[in-house]
Amino acid sequence: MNWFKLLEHDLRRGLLRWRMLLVPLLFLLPCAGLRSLLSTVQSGGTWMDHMLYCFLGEAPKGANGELTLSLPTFWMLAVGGCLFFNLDYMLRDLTNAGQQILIRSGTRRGWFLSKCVWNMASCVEYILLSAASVLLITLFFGGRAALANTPELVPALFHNVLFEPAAFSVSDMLLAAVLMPLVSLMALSMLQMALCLWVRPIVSFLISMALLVAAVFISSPLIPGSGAMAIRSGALVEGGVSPLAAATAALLVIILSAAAGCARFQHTDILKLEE
Amino acid sequence: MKSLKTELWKATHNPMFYAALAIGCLIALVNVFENKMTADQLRPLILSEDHVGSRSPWGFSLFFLWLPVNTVSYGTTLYCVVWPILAAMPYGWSYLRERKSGLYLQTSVRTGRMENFVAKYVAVFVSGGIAVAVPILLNLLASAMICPYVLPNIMRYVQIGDGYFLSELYFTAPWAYALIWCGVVFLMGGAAAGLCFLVGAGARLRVMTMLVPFAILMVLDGIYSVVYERGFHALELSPLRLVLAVPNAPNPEWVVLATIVLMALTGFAGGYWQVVRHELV
Repeated sequence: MNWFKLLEHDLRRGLLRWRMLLVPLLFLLPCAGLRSLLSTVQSGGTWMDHMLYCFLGEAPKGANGELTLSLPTFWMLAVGGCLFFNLDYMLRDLTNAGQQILIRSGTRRGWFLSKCVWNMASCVEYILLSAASVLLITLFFGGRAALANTPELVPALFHNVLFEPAAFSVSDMLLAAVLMPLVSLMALSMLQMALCLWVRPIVSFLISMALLVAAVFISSPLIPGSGAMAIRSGALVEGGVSPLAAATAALLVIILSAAAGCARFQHTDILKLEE
Repeated sequence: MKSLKTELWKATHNPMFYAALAIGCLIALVNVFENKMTADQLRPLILSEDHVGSRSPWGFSLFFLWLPVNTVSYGTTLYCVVWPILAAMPYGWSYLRERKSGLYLQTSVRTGRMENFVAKYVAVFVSGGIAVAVPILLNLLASAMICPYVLPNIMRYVQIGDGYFLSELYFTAPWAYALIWCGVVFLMGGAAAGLCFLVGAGARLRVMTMLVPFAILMVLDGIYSVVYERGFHALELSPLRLVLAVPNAPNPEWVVLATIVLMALTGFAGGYWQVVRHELV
């Protein structure tokens, strides 16, 4: 069987899913949260303000010396949402038509690589849907569909990190609020899918959550989630996580996950692989 | 009654129950290691203290570092995020699996739909509660081996104050407070695990059933965060954060208990509708 047929099957079955309709609802929460900050600067905000807020994350632990719980809920929802949506597709397929397809295609490696490509395409779809949702929500709340940010909002948005109003360059903001979250999501999602071949999917998801929480505590490009936080991006903040280093680390995670998953899948007993 | 006994036995004797307990204890252990590092750093200060009995002028105490209180710890933050998953792991998936294998219909025919559902719900509740509460209790005991027990000093490093859950007890009888909090966490875990019934046998894979409580509580946390951002800091209303004794806003007794009752009622009523009234008819 031609590999592209496998890929076509995965893209058709794996990208057109009802659950993706939840993405706008998921991103409605952070956008609603931003309203209070925007009211303080008496601005409707722009699309970029909203995207920055959705993938803002949290300043490194200890930066403000507070003893309160640091849990960037909106960021966890934005990043965790993608991991949640992508968690079960491979196993769903494997326990459904996947076994027949595997027999007919005669290649386990091809089947798994097709899932890898689907996984990354699904992350792209998630980010595109989130960007479109945020655009609609911004317009609904009376904001502007602009790529520039609102400089007066920066001190409130980058609380305890930046203290002066600043107008960032569009490319830096796109890098911090769109591209880096996408690359980090791809790495986390691929890692999660590969881990499903070693441990139960629920444990794999727990490991993803542990990585996200670790990213809250450790500012390092080696932790995949760190790159997805705009507040820590070296493109916007001095001394932040270098986007290049974070992207390189994420790329390594993607390649290693695909290679390790492929090797593991060659010897996995798919009949006993119950979810 | 017999079905309840059977369900409880199944709920507490399966690999997922042991896995949830092990993962919970692992996270609790991370917090213990962090506490050890903190205690080592502060040892000179503790030893140089001029304190008498259990009263400490400096106020460094085990009860500042215990998992539900130590909000700056990685272990605590991780626990706060994943506890609904740990609660659902032991047995939240059982209805789905037994429904798909046909076992649930067999037992329902023999014991009655309602009795079978109640037995299943109680088993899910108890196993979820144990999986969440036991690591907290073990963390307290393990932390007690490396951190000194002194009465917490109200002036030091702790956010608990007026309006927080049994705050008076925390500063006067912390061990009693800790044990009561373990009980509260048990109820929170049980009530959250019961939310798995909301999807009935609708999910194809049991992992998605197990993630239902987590997804619901995360979204509720998001909604609460919107309210919090708008300046409502009077009460902690996010069930996800209420597993901590020191959330960012006050958690009076009535809020904690009302949250537990609401979660339990939602799980039970939703489950009753799904399982007894809808799926088995």
